[in-house]
Amino acid sequence: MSHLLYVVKRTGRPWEAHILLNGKPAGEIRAGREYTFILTSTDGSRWRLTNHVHGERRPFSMRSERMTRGRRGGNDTPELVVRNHLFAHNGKFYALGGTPMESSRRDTLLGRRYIVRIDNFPFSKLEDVDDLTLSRLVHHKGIPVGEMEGLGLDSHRLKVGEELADIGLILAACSYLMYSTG
Amino acid sequence: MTTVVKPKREAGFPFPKKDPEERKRDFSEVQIPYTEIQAVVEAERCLQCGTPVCIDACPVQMDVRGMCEAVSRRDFKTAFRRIRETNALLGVTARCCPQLSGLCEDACVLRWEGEPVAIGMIQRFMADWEMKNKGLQTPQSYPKTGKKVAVIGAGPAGLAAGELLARYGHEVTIYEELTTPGGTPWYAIPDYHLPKDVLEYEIEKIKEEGVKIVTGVRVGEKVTLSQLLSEGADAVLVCTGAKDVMELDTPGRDLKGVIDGYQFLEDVFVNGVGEYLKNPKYDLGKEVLVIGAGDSALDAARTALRITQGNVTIVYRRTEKEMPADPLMVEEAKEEGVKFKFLADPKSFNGKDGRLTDVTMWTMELGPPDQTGRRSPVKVEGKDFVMKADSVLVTIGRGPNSFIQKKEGLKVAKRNAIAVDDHFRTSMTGVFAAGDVIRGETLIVRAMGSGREAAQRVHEYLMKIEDKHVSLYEAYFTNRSWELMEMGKDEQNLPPP
Ligand SMILES: Cc1cc2nc3c(=O)[nH]c(=O)nc-3n(C[C@H](O)[C@H](O)[C@H](O)COP(=O)(O)OP(=O)(O)OC[C@H]3O[C@@H](n4cnc5c(N)ncnc54)[C@H](O)[C@@H]3O)c2cc1C
Ligand code: SF4
Repeated sequence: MSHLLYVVKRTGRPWEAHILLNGKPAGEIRAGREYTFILTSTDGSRWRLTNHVHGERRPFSMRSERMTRGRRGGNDTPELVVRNHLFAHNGKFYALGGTPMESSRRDTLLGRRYIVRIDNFPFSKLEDVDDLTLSRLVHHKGIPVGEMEGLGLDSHRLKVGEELADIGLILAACSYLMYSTG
Repeated sequence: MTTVVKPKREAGFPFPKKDPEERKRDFSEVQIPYTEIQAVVEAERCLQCGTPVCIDACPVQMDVRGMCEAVSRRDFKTAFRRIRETNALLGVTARCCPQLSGLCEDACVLRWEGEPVAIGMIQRFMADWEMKNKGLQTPQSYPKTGKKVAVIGAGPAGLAAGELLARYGHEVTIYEELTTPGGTPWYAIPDYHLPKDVLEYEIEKIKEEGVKIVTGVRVGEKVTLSQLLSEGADAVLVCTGAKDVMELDTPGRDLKGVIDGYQFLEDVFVNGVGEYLKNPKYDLGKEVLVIGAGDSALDAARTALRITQGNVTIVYRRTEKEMPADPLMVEEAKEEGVKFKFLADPKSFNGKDGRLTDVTMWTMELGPPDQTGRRSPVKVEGKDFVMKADSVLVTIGRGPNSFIQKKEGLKVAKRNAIAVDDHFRTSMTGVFAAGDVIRGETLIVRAMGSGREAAQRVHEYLMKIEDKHVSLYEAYFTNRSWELMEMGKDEQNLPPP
């Protein structure tokens, strides 16, 4: 499978954006109250996004819950939780903005950021990861499985391969919101 | 929507530095500060983001956006007040934070398609400006509560916690083992990064806010935690840092010339580098090897280079790509002439008459990734080689300072760190802990962030308002928003959350 390229383009309203997948409309982000957002895909699926993660608001964190028709809130089990750039998916851990194994940290100081899979990570659940490990993620390296570019100034681009394809839209929205200038 | 912004810093990236040939001769600062006009021009590049991710990335939520807004209109007093609100060591962190490694500048949105705002340099300009103009308005405090808190350790965690506790209205005494407060930044961070008058000045300002510092007291020895509690303290906060060095078990490590790199740094800086140079304790010779690849190893190497003017080589068992040190510091060390030997690890220290002469090295290669995703070093049999050495500085990491927890029987976690719960409570009632002693070596600003969070928990414990807890990040996120700043409400100089 080739890469999926998501482009998140701001609308005129704070945080709100259209999301394109390989050039075609894929979804949109609408801002709700108190830093909550609704992500709607073109097939009608809806998710509620918030930075309230593991009991409190946290920086560079996002929780997404799929919304079911007739329910105002989201489901109890989130579809994706990012805590301080780290997330788990299908039993593996990934960092948004990690250093690819074959690069040095000097190579990634500016410009593109990578999504890397951290193999051998010594935790099995995201909620068990301690603050020290989270604060040292910058020292971790991993296998690059995606890239992010351009956020903040114009449009945000997120490229992911097969491994993260099923959560590509949610990742595009979460990574955009985590860095959006509002 | 397209925002027009200058993609690059006019004063160069990452910051202007003194000529390496000149700077390696002494301990004067590497960094050349921004002039007023450079600081203003740089602050003008800030987009004044609605959700400033630079602040999200700062462990003490320093108001970067507010600083840039005020500096860009040359209102330095307001800029200083805004950032001093949550950061009592502005000049220290401006110089020592690796802003591009997971902190404010790494997060700044301008990093994506250009160069981030030079937050550290503007902050440094502001700290220097205040030192010169004495423009500090004392941050707002609550009325006195009549409660007393003893803080153990006057490093960044203890100082930041003490300052916040004093602002909550408590009577704070910090007990410090050394004769000078400041912690690791005082006794180990070289003056070429942090001139000590900056640290001394900022500690004086903290004292002016009502924090009492008693030096020369080793808690656990001269006085116990229970004594402090029974003799008047309503709560104790332990911030004793990281001190237990990791050691090599390499044969020959007892030879004269094999030196603990951390002890070396402490001996050079603890009484001021000027004093050390008058009466040096170590004879390092001209061939110095430094084992390790973190920021402390770089500091040991660059300090040894300045003292010996000889050949200093960092020996690391992996390659440059796996080095944990801040890449900008690696660059500085290279510019100054520090050499690097990668994929090597000491096999034996060899000597004559009890004195080190050379080191037999293993040749290493990279194997599968370890738990940090970095490829692990693997020994290659039959490819040993010898490196000449007059001295070796072993600087391979420090774990939490285990003294108090061992002496007082506090429950410990990994690597003898003091075990704490989400409220920073230890296993002893009324005793809390924060900073590197609960995590192992981190960064000054992370230790300060931890100290502030613990101070907030101590305050909630003393005032019996634990059920009302809102994290400092959440309080900043919801209360001190851009809208408040726009409406001029932040000018009210609010007390801490
Ligand atoms: C060589 C070196 C260079 C570094 N460079 C940087 C840098 O450039 N930037 C950066 O951000 N970080 C740097 N760090 C890390 C940083 O200094 C620490 O993370 C930070 O100082 C931790 O703060 P702390 O308050 O938890 O502990 P400390 O700074 O270690 O302070 C603990 C204090 O407690 C005192 N104490 C200990 N036991 C007792 C006792 N029983 N009774 C009374 N007092 C006691 C100690 O004397 C000390 O003053 C460096 C560290 C080293 C070793
Ligand atoms: S992220 Fe950068 S541009 Fe935005 S407010 Fe912070 S310093 Fe300014």
